[in-house]
Amino acid sequence: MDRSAFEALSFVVADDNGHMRQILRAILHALGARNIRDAEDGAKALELIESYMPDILITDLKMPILDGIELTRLIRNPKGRMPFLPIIMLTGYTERWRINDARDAGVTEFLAKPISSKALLDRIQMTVDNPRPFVQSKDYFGPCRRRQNSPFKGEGRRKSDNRELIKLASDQHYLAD
Amino acid sequence: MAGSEKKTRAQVINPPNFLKSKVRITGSGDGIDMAAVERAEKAISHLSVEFDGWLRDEVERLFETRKRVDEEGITGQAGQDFFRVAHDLKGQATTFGYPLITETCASLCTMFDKLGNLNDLPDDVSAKFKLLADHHVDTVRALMTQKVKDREHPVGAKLAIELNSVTQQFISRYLPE
Repeated sequence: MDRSAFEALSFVVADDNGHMRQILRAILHALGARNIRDAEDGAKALELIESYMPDILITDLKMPILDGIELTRLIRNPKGRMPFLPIIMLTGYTERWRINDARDAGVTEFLAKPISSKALLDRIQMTVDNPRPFVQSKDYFGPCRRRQNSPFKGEGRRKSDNRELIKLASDQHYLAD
Repeated sequence: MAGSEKKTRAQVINPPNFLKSKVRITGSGDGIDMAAVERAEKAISHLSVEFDGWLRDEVERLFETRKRVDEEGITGQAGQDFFRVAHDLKGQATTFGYPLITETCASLCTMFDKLGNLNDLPDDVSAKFKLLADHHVDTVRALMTQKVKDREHPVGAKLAIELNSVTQQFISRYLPE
């Protein structure tokens, strides 16, 4: 990967802690990213996402006003502006129920604190190279919650490729450009 | 199958992957690009001249929010702020070079997580919790001022073991599952 590999990608970084935002910015910049905006709470992040239309959101879980889970739920509105936005969530929590809540809200990838450059690069590469398919059901809209490499062995009951939503994903991309 | 059941079926959506076309090369394809990781680590190392000052700021915030808990009580905003600062420090201290502070704050956060509904906390347990929280805050300050970074330091190892032991006793006696 050369220095400019991530140059065309745009990021929003949401964390209420200014030091953490600086660390994330430094890592992203070193990885080649040049289009980085940051927000100190979930509400400001939501405003930025709607105006800036980033390619990837990196958000903390615990933030004032709107936390990372509430922010994710608002983004994963199928009628919203960027329902397919990849969301990488930073969390220092190890409790299973918190991770499950975040996953059920529609988080794409998790990154445990303390963060490392290698782990962040790994999550971004995963998002770019192996994006999760999306699932829409009565009570969930978001990235497939199955692990990508473990095929489901039960009866297949999904109706694949919802054309209307694929069109929305395309529109989301063109709006972002 | 009845029509109402059909409506509850999940739909899989495979949005077009526009991110891949924006990233020129993402590693060699067989793993993480270590050159990129090294650049990011170097960027963090350049930032590290700030870390002692940042750590001081965060430890001071921990101390101040702990004081506010005494003035305002643990059930309100002060308690939440104290938890958030402890949680931030847990996530950052290792990056700042102080894994033992991460460990100490993780212990403090575990106590908070086990507290459950703070309004139901008996006065004597609340007093004991505050006392033990003070031990954590004092330990964090001592580790920072004495530059005790990890368990390689004999004093650091002793402090960590003792604090962990007292905390586990408190949790098992007063905050059982």
